[in-house]
Amino acid sequence: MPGPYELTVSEAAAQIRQGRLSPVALVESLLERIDRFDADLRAWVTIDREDVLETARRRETEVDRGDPLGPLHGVPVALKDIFYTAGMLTAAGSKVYSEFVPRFDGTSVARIRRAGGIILGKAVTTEFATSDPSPTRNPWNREHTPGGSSSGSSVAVAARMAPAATGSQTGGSTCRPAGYNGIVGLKPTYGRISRYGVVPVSWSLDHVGILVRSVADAALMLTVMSGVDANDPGSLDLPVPDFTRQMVQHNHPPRIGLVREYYSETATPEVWSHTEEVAQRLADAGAVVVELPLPDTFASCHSAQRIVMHVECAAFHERFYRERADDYGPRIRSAIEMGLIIPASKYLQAQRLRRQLRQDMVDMTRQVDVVMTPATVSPAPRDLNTTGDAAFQVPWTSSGLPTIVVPSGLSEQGLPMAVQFGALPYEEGKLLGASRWCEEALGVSLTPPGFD
Amino acid sequence: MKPGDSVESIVQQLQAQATAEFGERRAAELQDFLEQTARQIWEIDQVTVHADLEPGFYQ
Repeated sequence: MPGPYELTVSEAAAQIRQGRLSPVALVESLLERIDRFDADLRAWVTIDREDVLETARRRETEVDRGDPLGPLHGVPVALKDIFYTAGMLTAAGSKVYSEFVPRFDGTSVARIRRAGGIILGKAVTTEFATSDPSPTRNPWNREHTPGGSSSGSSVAVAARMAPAATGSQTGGSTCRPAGYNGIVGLKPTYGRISRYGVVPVSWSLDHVGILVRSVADAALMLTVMSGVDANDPGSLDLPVPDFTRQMVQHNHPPRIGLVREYYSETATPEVWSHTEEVAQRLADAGAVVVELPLPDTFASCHSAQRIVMHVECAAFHERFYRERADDYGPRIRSAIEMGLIIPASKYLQAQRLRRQLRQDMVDMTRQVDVVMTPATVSPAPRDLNTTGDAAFQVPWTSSGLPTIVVPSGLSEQGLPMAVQFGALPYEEGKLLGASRWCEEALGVSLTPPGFD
Repeated sequence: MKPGDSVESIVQQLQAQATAEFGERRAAELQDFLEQTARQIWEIDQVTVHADLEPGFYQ
């Protein structure tokens, strides 16, 4: 019989509410997994065991007393180590922040706690959530990158050390490692989840992401974490729907737009052939699959994203960089330096292109329920000096449209493969419903060998 | 840096800026990044946007 560590967020929350699962037993089961596997996988930075167990005992007492329970009551969640946690180290994978202890919780962290969630610990991030690789290892094959920058979060969820984790995405940092590790990654519409209390890479590109093992869990976590926040100038001032209910309402065969242009040329032949096979299986199951052409602005969107990211990253880091340049890793240091010398007029030109791209992506996506692409260019590359290629996420991150990555099979080498779905801004309900239908039609749920 | 500049010209302008900001040695170490950035700048300069299109920022 599987241990509590196997449970998804939705399963654990339901069992706790029904009194069939003790939050303490769930936490102990996950801590045992961490003890067993983390010396090898290196997914965690900070875990305060006493505090975690104390919180679990409190949650158990609340159940026993019949207190009102939040939707995440007693469920442990891992936080990428760029999310502020009051009184707990938030080092952002960096020497510069190695002693940073925030005085408050990030808004999304506070919402997880308010919903009854238990902060299990802080998961490894690449340095300042950029592209210098972290020490985390891919549970599917230690010689292959786990991806980044949400490397610890993705590996913790894939290896059943946590049922859910927070991530972030400036280029591809949630959806790409989700694809490499065989789990579900959700990047909502820009502004849907507050960025306040999350160490920034690039203010106008950063999204808070969600890493889980099912689409239903993504819906539940999104409902908990979303909402307007006066502290985040990019925050969406929209009511938060019950995304689980919306997912159920939209769980029917969708009209899917398959993008062949660019994606078929950029993906490896194995990945593209797999994507076509997935499209055929979904069509056989009842989906309508049509091909969509890309807008002209797509051609420059990767360059525009790099320019914006470098300049905003430099603006945030300049003061630290001027004093401690040698404390930065080689890639983030170079990115900061590029940002310091890119002319302001080019930064603004890149932002103008992003605005046009968003409108063009909306016009393209409006023709269907969801757009489908491969999740990644290739399965996780056999190279620990890279976090992989974010090319398939960048257009969606740059335009702010929501995307989700869903596991869809294994490569010839036994590595996870996945597809990515994108939808119109603010239509996460439709995105979740369509991807839930696809998840069920494909019937793929992946566990790394030796981790079941 | 003007919209019609070639990639090579943009590289040279970035090299001069990097040398002034970070010193000659560091500018040399950054050569690959300077070339990538020059290509990115050149690429976004190839796109003509409507005069009334304002920047996006918080999309």
